[in-house]
Amino acid sequence: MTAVGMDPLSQPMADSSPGQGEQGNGTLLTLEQVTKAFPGKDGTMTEILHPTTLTIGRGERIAIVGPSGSGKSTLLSLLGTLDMPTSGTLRYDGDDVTAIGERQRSDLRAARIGFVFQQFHLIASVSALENVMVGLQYTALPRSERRDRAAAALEQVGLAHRLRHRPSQLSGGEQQRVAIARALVKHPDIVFADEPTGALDTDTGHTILGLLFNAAESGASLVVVTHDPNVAARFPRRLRIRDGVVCEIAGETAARKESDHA
Amino acid sequence: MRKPLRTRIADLMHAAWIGATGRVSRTVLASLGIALGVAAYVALSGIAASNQAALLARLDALGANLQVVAPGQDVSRQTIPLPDYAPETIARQPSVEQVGVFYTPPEKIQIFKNQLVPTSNGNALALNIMAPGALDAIGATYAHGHGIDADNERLPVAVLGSETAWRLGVTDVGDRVLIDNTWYGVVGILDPLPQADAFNTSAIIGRSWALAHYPDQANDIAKISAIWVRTKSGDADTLRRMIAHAANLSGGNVSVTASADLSKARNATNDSMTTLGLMIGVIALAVGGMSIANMMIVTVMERRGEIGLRRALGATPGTIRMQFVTEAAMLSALGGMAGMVIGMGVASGVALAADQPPALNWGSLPLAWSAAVAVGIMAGLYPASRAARLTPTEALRNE
Repeated sequence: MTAVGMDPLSQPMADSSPGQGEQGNGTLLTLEQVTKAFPGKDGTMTEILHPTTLTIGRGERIAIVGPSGSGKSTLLSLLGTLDMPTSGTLRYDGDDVTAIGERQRSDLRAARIGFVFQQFHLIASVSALENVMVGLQYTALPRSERRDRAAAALEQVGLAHRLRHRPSQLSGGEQQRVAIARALVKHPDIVFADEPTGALDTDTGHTILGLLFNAAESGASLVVVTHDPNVAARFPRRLRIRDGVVCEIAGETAARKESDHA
Repeated sequence: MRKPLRTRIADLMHAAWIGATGRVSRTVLASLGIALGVAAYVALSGIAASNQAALLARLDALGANLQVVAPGQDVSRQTIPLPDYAPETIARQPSVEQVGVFYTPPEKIQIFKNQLVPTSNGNALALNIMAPGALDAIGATYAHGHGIDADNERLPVAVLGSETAWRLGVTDVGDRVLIDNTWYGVVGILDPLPQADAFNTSAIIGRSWALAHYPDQANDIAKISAIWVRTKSGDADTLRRMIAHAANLSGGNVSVTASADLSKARNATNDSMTTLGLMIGVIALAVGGMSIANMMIVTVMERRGEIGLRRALGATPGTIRMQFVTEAAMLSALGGMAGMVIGMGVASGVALAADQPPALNWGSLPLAWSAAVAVGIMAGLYPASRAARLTPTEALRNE
């Protein structure tokens, strides 16, 4: 296990980055001494994420595992710029994301970051195609261009025949594929997936994961939060988070061990 | 990399449309209040408009555009007789349609059914002397018979006002009455004339007969007692002044009065119904706005996931706010359109049922609709700002 900055005494970040997926591609995202604290009921701040230093390379595939309540989702929100750290710095492509305004962060998300959620979060009243088009709604592309790209993205996830179907007419796996198409349609630099297979059966989950890996083939980094060790085992790099402390897991065995806690 | 304005508006409308039509029954219920508000205003102002159109038509028929020219008085309260040319000069005015001339009746005339009625029984009936066709200018219609024209004005014939006929017990033409101890054949009985009340209680005879029958009073009888002037609709004061000038070209005083106080009614009827409609509309719009605000709050709570998703996809808080404000505005715009259709239907239905000309207050339509949209925007502001305040992580958190 390589420590990834669990505390202020951890090694410099450069030492801690494992090689896979990063060679020659450079760094996409870095967390520098990032913490996140939330106010508790009695008004005191509870630190959910202890100081963490972490680097994600371009095209890197990472699984984040940990028991529920351990701060997985918080870490994912911070990485995805959905939430701002209480302290520390988040760099995206070398730029300090914590220093820019919400509007620029929104633009960053709109153009370069894809999300996939456990509950899919599809808009129930519109077609699969429209749902994927929402993925480009906050970009400057004209509507016709968005439509074309959305159709292509749905084809990519194998739903070319389902463009006009509404979410209620699709199976869970198909809905998640629509959600993945929505994340991929903008050709993001990085895709964050929060328990993407959590609501699906094993086989379907397998397919979904395959689709996400395909996306990573084309150069996007992939960060998946999961509590399923079988899912985690397919990732070359795994992070474990427990009680707000992040550390690297090396090898299959560690991942198996992790499953006891998940 | 800002979006072009057209794309931005198209996106906004599209997102609002998706939101507003996502739950049809709720959308319908929420915008019902707005629809009713707009409908109430459009319907009531439409009903008011057709009421008014009907009333004005009736007023005009009755004599809101009837003026009576009578001799004026000088400073020493002496009557200045109307010049003989007055009917002609008045008739020449462009906005004058018809002129009816009446002459001064002899004094102390008594009118009875027959010679058997004691002469001490006064019955408060008056005699009028008319030029041929004068009653037409008043707009008189006949219950029986006809008027006095060039053919019979030299004969001892009379036209009776409706009240006169009733008091004398005359029910049809062909009967005769005793006026100043002379028998007159009744050639016509008038319908009631609300626009010229005095004629209801009078008997009217022709000028030529009167002059021949009262040779000793011919000078007085030849004097014009009143000229009834039917004008086109228009500003009463202007008309009155114009007629007065025409009646006495030398500038002597002339009395010109409206035949009845109808011209005042004409001006007064315009507003009250529309005001009522406006008040009901405003109240209903306010209630409708609250129901939209209420629904939007529920919507925002329900669609937290969508809000979180959109934030994750790059929507700024401002974009989210605009989306929900637009959605609320769209709800009320749809409700407003439905309300206009309902209101127009009700207004024309009522007008048809009441046999009035269906009229709409067209100016009220864009006004009511914009008011509805404005109410929608205001109703959407608070829920939308709640939606915008949600952080992405809050919004995406599983409930």
